[in-house]
Amino acid sequence: MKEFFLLKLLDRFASFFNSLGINYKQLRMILKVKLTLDHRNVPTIMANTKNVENKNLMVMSMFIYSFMGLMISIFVWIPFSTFYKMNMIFGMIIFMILATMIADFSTVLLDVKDKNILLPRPIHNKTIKMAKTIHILYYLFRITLALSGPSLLMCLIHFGPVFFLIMLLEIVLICGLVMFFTSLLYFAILSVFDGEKLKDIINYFQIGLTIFITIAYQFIGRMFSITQMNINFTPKWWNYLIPTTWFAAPLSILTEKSYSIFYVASTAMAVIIPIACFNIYIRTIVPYFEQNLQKLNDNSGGKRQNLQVFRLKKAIASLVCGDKKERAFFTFTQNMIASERKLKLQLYPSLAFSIVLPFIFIFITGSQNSFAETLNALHTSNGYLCIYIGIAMTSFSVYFINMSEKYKGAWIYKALPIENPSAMLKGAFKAFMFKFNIPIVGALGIIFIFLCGPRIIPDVILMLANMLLLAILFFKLSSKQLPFYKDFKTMQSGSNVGVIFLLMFICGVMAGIHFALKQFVPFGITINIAISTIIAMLIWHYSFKISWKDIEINY
Amino acid sequence: MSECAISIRDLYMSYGSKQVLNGINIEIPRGKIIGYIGPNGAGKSTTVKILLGLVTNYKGLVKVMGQDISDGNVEYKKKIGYIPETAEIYDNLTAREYLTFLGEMYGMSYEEVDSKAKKLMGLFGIEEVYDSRITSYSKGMKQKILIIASLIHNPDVLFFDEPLSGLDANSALIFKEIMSSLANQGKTIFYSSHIMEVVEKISDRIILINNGNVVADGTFSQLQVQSQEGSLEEIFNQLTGFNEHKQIASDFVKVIGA
Repeated sequence: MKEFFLLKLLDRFASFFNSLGINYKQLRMILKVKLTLDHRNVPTIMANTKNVENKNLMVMSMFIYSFMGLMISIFVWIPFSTFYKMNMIFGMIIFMILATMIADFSTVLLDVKDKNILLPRPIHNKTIKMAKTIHILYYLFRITLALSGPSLLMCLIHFGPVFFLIMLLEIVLICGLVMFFTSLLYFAILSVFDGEKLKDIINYFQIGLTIFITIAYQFIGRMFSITQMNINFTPKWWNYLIPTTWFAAPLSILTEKSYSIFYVASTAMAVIIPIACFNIYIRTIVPYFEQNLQKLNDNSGGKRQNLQVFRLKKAIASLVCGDKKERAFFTFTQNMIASERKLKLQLYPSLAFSIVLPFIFIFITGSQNSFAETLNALHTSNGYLCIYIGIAMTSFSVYFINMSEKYKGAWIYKALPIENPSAMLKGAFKAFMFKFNIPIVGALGIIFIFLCGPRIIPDVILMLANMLLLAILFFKLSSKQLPFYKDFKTMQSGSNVGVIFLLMFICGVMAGIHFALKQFVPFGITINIAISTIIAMLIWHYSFKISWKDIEINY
Repeated sequence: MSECAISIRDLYMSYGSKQVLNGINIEIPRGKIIGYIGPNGAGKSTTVKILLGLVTNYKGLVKVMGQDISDGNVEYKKKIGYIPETAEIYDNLTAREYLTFLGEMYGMSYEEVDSKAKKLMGLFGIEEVYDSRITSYSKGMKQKILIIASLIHNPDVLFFDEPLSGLDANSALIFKEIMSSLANQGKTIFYSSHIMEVVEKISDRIILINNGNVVADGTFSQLQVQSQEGSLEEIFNQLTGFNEHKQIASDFVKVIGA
């Protein structure tokens, strides 16, 4: 364990902590362990090696946050009024911090492991709580610094040191506010739900948020052209409810000498509300968490199986899988992915994008026209080819077939008398197709048929064929491993982007061929459907003869 | 030394509407090994969790080494050692890091815990993994770490929940021997297990709970007399009102062969 800077800093306040009734020595030890553990979240492959401290992941994420911070800081130079500008900047910073807190810190906030290890020891509750709070704050400050650092620097250059200092102070206050909001949200979720349901809700919430953030980013560019006009701000009563105005107000007073009651009152709120909220957080919410975290481990309450859904699933399974073992794997895979939270968290956002992105793309390319004009143009244009973007995004799902949180359960494959592992792979692949790819691309196709007219029905059929071809090709090319076999940790954080680009590229080629055949060859679409289907079937039948020797096994 | 190591009076506990403990009364003097047994869901681990301060919203009076544990003072935990049944460990730490961390939490010096832990690991024959991450350990090795972690601060009261799980026969033998010498030194051991043969052999006194009530409390021979049965397993079956094991077993086998 190495010495952390944070701990050295805290050492200076040792007597302060002790005067609060906190055992500083214990506090320091707990934090040291926590920080060490955070540094050690490394791929399991390396777990046996002694003392590997992996900093890359952390440095990487800090780099990404700083980059976002840099983008935000561009706003400083746009010639708007300070009030408006700072509203935008604070808005983005608050949103980003809140989003990361909710997504990443549920693990710290809702940690039950801690409780079981620390509570049987002679550690006072106060000490444990303080350790937890400092731990969260430490990361909160790091992220905040990366996100707001560039803007702070730009402001220092643009507006001078006084502005800089006020803003810095406000950023600290913002942290307190974000802590409060995040915990309030989990507080609400915790009081309504329990057990598995609770974990599901958190999971869906995180997914929703990831989607929301990414889509919001898509729109920032568009927002600009809309908002590039003179803004006359007249305070209304509800403006008092928007946090960013509180924080922007004092800066406006400083640079624009706006001494009206609205700005003064907002400034007061910027100071009072975060401090009050942080107090409520410490006094009310933290104790509540301690009591209710127990619920996370509550697994009571069985779910009854819906008989009709069950029959439908069974019918689909026997329809698409001839082989008995393959069918068993098909059903098994569908049941597994229904309960894999990490899979959902990683996969669902990109699935949601596969539906949303084609539309965003259409509207971005047609941004000079009005909404109705863009829609109208679809009747005659080749805009429906945007479905290929969706196809590329959904095909990403294939990448996840061999990932699982419970990857250790995969020993069963070797214990079972399975002569031919290709049945497992085929069953799992089909399950993914029926669960994700076919419904999503099908839905996209139907929406576009409504928008573009029935003339594109043959094109949609071709796209479905191409989608299967792409997925099979991708599955064939990716490493041959058993389903639910690998830990998510082995997935490199950067490689996703590469894979998506590759898929995008192949899809682009497919779309090109699709377009060329349609334009220049008679019966081009029919020919293309035939070719794609035949290639897909050939790959499926001839290259999926996999034996146990071909399977990568890494125990 | 006259006071009890553990004293539980009228202990009630419920999770929501589910009543788990229905007024338990237990007095345990020092220097005894207590077998604490009962069917699944009888309230065994809840009792232990209350004694450890993991569960706090109980009703009744609970004292450990004479101290009422509800007053928020955590001093009494210094005298407690605990082996949980399903253990959470910070397993990304090495044994050295984990054990010294816990030792320091008990107020020991780093050097003291470090040398003690190393010696204990050596005695268990796993010294060579002292600086490896716990994730890489086998189940038996992890169990040994839990055993060392529960004893390193020389506690007076010990709560062992299935402590032998994962240990090979030789290590289990060592551990049983350790328990009886600790009891001879005046330490109290609260031993919870489903393996009746072991409980029967090592316990000075056996407490059986069922549906949140104490249904038997006494030495093994007292229980034998009371229930007219030979082995602890049979006593357990009788007192928990279970006598259809033969029928269920034969049905079970029939289903397999069908």
